[in-house]
Amino acid sequence: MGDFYHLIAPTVWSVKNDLVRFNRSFYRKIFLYAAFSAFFVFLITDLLTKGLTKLEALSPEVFNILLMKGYALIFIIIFFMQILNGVVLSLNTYYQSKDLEVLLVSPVNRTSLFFSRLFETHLKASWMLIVFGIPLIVASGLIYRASPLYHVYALTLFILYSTIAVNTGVGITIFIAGLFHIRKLKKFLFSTGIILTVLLVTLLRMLKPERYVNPELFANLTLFIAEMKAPSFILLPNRWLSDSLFSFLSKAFTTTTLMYVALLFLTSYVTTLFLLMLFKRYYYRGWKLLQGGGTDLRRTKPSVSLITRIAEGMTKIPGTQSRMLIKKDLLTQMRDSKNIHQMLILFSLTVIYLFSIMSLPMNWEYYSVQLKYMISFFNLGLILIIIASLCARLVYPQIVSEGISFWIMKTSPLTLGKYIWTKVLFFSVPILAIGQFLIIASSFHIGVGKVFIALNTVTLALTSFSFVSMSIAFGTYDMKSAFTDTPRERMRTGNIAHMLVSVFLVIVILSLEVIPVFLYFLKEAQKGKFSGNAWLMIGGVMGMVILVNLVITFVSIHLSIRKAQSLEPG
Amino acid sequence: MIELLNCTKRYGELIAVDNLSLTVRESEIFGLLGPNGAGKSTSIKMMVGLLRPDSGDVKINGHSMNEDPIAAKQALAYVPEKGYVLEKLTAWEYLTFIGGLYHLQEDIFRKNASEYLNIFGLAEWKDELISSFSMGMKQRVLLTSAFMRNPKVIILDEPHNGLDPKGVRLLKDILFKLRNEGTTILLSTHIIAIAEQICDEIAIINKGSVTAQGDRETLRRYAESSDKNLEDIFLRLTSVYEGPMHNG
Repeated sequence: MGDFYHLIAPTVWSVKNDLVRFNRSFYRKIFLYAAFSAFFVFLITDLLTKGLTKLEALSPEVFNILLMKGYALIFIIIFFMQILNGVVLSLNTYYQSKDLEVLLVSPVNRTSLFFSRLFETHLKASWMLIVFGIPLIVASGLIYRASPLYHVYALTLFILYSTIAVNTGVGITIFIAGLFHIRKLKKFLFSTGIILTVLLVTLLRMLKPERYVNPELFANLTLFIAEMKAPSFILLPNRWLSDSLFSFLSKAFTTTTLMYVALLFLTSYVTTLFLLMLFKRYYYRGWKLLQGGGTDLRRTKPSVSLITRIAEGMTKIPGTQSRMLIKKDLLTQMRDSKNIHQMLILFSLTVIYLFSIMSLPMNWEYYSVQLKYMISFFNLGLILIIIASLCARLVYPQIVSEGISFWIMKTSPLTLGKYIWTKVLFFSVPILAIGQFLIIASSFHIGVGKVFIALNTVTLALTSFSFVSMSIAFGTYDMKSAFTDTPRERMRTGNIAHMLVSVFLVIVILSLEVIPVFLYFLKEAQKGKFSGNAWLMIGGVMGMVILVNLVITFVSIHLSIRKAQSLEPG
Repeated sequence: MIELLNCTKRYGELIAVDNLSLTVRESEIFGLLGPNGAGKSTSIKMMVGLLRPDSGDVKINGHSMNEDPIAAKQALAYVPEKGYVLEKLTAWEYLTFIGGLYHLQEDIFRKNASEYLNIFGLAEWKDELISSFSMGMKQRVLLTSAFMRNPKVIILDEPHNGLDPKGVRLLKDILFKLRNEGTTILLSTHIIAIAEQICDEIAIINKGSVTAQGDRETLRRYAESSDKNLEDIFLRLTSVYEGPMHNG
C-alpha cells in the first residue's frame, strides 16, 4: 500500500504545487473548466427536466417505461464510450507514459504499480461522469423530487458502472499488447474500428429510429413502447444501472433491485481482480515487446502511397514555406497510426449517419410538412456536432503535439501568422469537404427547398471555419504541455473546454436558424410565397450567422498567433 | 557576428541571465562554459529567438532579434541540446522541409544536403523514417539540417551529445572548416577538453553573468593560476569544486 501512495504522489504533488504556488495558468484552466462544466450541467439538466416533464403529462405509466428505456439506451452508449476511453487511456498510462522506465527498474511492487496506473486511468476517464453522469442523475432526481440520498446512491452506482466499462477497456489493451507489438496495435485498432462500426450499425438497426417519425405507431403508444427494443438484456450492466435507479426513484425497491446493485458492486470488483490477473500474466510481456522493437535500427522505409504522391504534388503550390508546412503535416498525419483509428471512426460515423438519413420515410405529403423542416433542422445540428467532434479529435491534438517540435518554427524565418494561417487552410479543406458532403447529401434526400439547402450549406461552411480556428486556438494554448519531456503527461483541459465552447456555438447557430425553419414551414403549410419581410428576416439571420462566425474565426486566429508568438519552448 | 546586449531574463524571482553582454566575431569559434543552471541554455535560447529577453537585445549579423527577427533567423542555424526531429518524416523529407522554411534554392539544397548526409554517414538512411534512428543519428540529421544552409552564424547547444568518438571528430573538423570560411560559431559544452581544443575564445558563465572571458591564456591569468589546465581554471572561476586535496 505504501508503494501505491508513492506512485500516485507525483500526480498529487503536481496538483498541490500548482495550487499552493498559485500557478495562474492552472487556476485559469480550472476556472474555465468549472464554469463551462457547470453551464453544460445546467443546460442538460434543464433540457432533460423540461422535456421529461412534458412526457410525464402524456401518461405516467408510459412515461416511466419510456424514461427507463431512454436512460438504458444512453447508459449503453456511455458504456461503449468508456470502454473505448479505457483502451486509449491505458495505452498511455500503462505503456507510453515516460516515467514508466524509471518505475519499472525500481523495486516497486507490481500490484501497487497496477493499481496506481488503474487509478490514473479512471481519474482521466472521469470526465464522462462530470459531463454526462451528473446531469442525467440530477435531471431524474428533479423529476421524481428525490431526496439527497438518491443522488449519493446514483453517483455511487454510476461510478461502479463506469469502473466496469473502463476496466474492460484496460483489459483489452493489456491483453492485446501482451500478444502483439505495440506498433502492431494499428492493426488491432483497425479491426476494433471495423467491429465498432458493425456494432454501431447493428445497434442502430435494432433501434429502428425511423419508427420515431412513423405516425401509425404513435397512434398506439402502448404498442410503440412495446415495439421499442432498446438493448437492455439482463446481463448488460446498463440494465442493472437503469433498473436500480428507477426502482429507487419510484420507491419500488425489490429483491431484484438489490440483486442489480449487488451485481454492479460485484462486477466492478471482479473485473478489477481479473484485470490484476491479466496484468500479472501479460503486462511485462507487452512491455518487453515494446522495448524490443522501439530502439533497434530496423529499416522502416515508408511505402510510396497515394498520400506520399499527393504530398509530393504539393510542390506545385506557390509559397515555399506554406507548401513545406502542408507537405509536412500531410505526411505526419497519414503516418500516425492514431489517425487511422480516428479515420475509421469518422468513416463509420459518416456511413451510419447517411444510412440513418436514407432509412427515414420520405413520403412527406402523407405526414406533416412540419416534420420535414424539423428533421432538416436537427440534421444541421447533428452535422454541426459531428464536425465539432472531428475538430476536437483531429485538429486540437495535432496542434498540441506540435509543441515538441515548435522550436523548429520558432527559430526559423517563418512568421507565426503564416504558420497559423497555413494550419487553418490545411485543416479547413477536409473538414469543409466532409461537412458539405453530409449536409448536401442528407438535405437532398430529406427533400427540403434549394434555398433552404443553400442556407444550411453556407451556415455549415462558416461554422466549420469557426470550429477549425477554435481548435487551433485551444491547441496553441495547450501546446506548452508538449514542450518538455516531463515525466508525466500534464493535465490538459483544453479539449473539454473546446468541446463545451463548440456545443455553445452550435446552440447559438441553431437558435438563429430556428427563424428560417419556421418561415419555411409556414410557407409550405400555407402553400404561399415569402413576403418581403420574410426574406428580410432570413437575410438578417444569415447576416448574424456570418457575423458570429467571422468574429469567432478571426478572434481565434488572432489569439492563436498572439499565443504562438509569446510561447517560449524551453 | 553575434551580439548580446545587456540581456536579462527572469523566471519569477530567479534571475537566470543577468545583464549579459557578449560579442562573437566572424571566423571565430566561441565556447560558452558554465556549471549546471549557470544560464547557458537560457542565453542561447535568447540568441536564437526561442526566449524573449526581459530587457536588452540580441543581434545576429547586425539584425536585431527584437526588431527584425525574420532577417536574424534567416542568417542563423541552431542545433538544440535535445532537439526533437519530426519523427514521422524520413531524413530526406525533414531536410527538404527545413530547406523550404529557409528558402534554400533547390540545387544548392540537393548538393549540400547530399554532401553532409555523406559526411555524417547517413546517405543510405536518407529514405528511412527518423523514428527508427538512434540518438546519435538524430543528432547527425540535426547537424546536417544546420550545416546544409551555409549559415553565417551557427549556434550549437551541447552538440556532442549522443555522438560517438568518430562523430565528435567529424564535427570538430567541420567546425574548423566553417570557421575558416568565415562562419561565426558559438557552442556550449560540458566537455572542457573539447572547448580547450576547438574554441578560439571562451566565456565562463556563472549565475547568469560572465565570470571570465578570453582565450586560454587570458583565462589562466584571470584565474591567477600558473600551470593549471582549463578544467582547473573553470572550477576555480566557478567555485564549484575545490578538490579533495585542495589546500587553499
